[in-house]
Amino acid sequence: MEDNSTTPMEMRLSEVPGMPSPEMELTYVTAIPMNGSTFTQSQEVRIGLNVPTDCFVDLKRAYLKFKLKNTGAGTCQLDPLIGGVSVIDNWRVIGGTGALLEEVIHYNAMYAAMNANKSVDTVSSIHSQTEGASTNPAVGLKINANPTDADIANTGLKALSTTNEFVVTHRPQSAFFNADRYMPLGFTQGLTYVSITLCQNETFGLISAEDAANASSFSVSEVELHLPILKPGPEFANMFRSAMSSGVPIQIHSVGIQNTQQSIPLDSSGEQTLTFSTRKRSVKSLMNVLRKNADITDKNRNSVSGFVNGGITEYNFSVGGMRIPAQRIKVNYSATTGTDKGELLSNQQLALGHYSSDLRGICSQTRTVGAKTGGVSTYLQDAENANTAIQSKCQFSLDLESYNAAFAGKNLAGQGLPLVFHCNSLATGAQDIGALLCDLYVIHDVVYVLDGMTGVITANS
Amino acid sequence: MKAIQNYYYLYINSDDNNTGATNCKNINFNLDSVLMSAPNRQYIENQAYCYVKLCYFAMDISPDAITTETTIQVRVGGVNFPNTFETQPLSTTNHYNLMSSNILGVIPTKKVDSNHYYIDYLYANPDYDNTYVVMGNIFKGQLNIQLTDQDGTVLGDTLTNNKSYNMKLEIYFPENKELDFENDKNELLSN
Repeated sequence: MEDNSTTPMEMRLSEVPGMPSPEMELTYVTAIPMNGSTFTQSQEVRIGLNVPTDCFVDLKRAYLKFKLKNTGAGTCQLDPLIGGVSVIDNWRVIGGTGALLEEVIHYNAMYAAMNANKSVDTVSSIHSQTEGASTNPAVGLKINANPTDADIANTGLKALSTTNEFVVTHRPQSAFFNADRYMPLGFTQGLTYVSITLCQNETFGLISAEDAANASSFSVSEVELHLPILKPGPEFANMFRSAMSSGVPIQIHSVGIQNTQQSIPLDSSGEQTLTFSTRKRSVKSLMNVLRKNADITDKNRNSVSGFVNGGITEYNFSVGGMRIPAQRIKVNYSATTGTDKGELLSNQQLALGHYSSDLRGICSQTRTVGAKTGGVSTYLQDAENANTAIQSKCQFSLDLESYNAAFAGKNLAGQGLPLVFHCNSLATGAQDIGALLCDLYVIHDVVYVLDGMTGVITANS
Repeated sequence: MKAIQNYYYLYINSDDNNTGATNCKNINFNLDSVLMSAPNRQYIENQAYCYVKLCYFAMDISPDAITTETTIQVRVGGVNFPNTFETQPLSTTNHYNLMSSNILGVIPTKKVDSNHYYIDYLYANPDYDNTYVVMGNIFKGQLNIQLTDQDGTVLGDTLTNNKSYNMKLEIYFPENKELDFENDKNELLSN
């Protein structure tokens, strides 16, 4: 029975008038792909969100599950930070009328950057169990030489023998799946679907130096998206329909991530100026991730989470011609005069909203099992052009939010100039070996609007 | 309305790939964003989809190296093709005969016998019979291009190692507000 207590927060959709606390029946729907059953590199997996009429979806509690199979000739190791999620190259959500509701290009690298900013224990326990992350993920893998079996054992990478499978269970890091309200997909027109583009064979895992001759390949099958469905009683559903048909727009807020890319060429050092294209209205923060371009499609290297520093010694961003911050953020590597790990990490945590949180960590302190001392920091690595150089977990980020609230970010749409990343880099950075790819993730506000008259959802950002 | 600013042309030289790979069967480019070069085309940056037509494809390929390949398929990774499908065999692990596809264009190898094929280069004819396909906005960073045979198998090294191709793409951005990623930004500011 419905009573007259307050409407739960998750059900307060914009201007819809206050409603009694509705009776809600919770069920689960397992959505499966509509366009095939077994998928290989570069293919698209299309999962329709089959939500019954007049129902809401609690997407914050949804999870994706799939079976990842090593179809290559030899053993392949999964990514140290995100395991089998590395196969998700791009993530899109398409509305029932074909409108793009969300697009995260290089989703796997974004998720790896997020996991890099979790504690070692979190990654080596829950992410290892659910996604196949390594058991000692703070250990850095080599970036200028193929990691050997010994390196891999030291890192505790999840190994998949040929034809073996691993079941990946993953909670989507997606704006659409992290909205502040239940998504009324049972009231919309058409079928909303998730579109996942898989990565290339060479990107999904790592083959050791000893097995370098083996080709890398994978397949994905038994894809399931588990959706908690909330079916309200008829009184609430009718009231919601009435509110929609009266023309009240239903608005749902979330935080999305846009990817835009640039390159740092081989052998370039000194002042670097990288321009990025973004026109988001409310940008909360910027997160810049550097990887060696060739390693992304190298089966013998850590492709997804092989982050490097590019020898960057200081950086800031230019937004509409204004430098932010005016004084550059320093990145000093010197072991004798001190490093700037703390400042770099503080800016990263500010950008991610983790600052001063004791619940968050950084996946960059190795452990020596059973020893009272030991363990080294792998956070900020110098001399990346050496043969023995290892990856870092650093991102070059900036917080732009004026206060912690929705729509309090920087407006980049009204500026006539693109976003520019300014940095100074050493000649000993990773670009001394090969060109770098810069993935800039723009973390921004997004509002999903459900037009009550047409039942069409659109994304505004 | 078809306006001149809706059309873009992209000339791709396989030698210019972003890792300097000399085997052109599976290469990547960083296409960045159209907004960089055409800053007034903001609505194109926000477009979810575009139409792309393979107008021209030429490759220094040796007739001797062609064995059973009747067709070269140009496949694009990392981008979705909402309206393109292909058949695939049914098997114990595959229960669908129809599947979404990432083929941008197809090129006949036109082989006559072991030493001859009709034209010296593969797709330099004036007919341009590859028509528009709908794909996700092509100007979104890394673009992967693979050359496969008619079965979707990546071409062998004998056909592609130390070889180059040249490709011309015609790109058209339709003005369809319904498919625009950011329909009305005022919705955001009104909150």
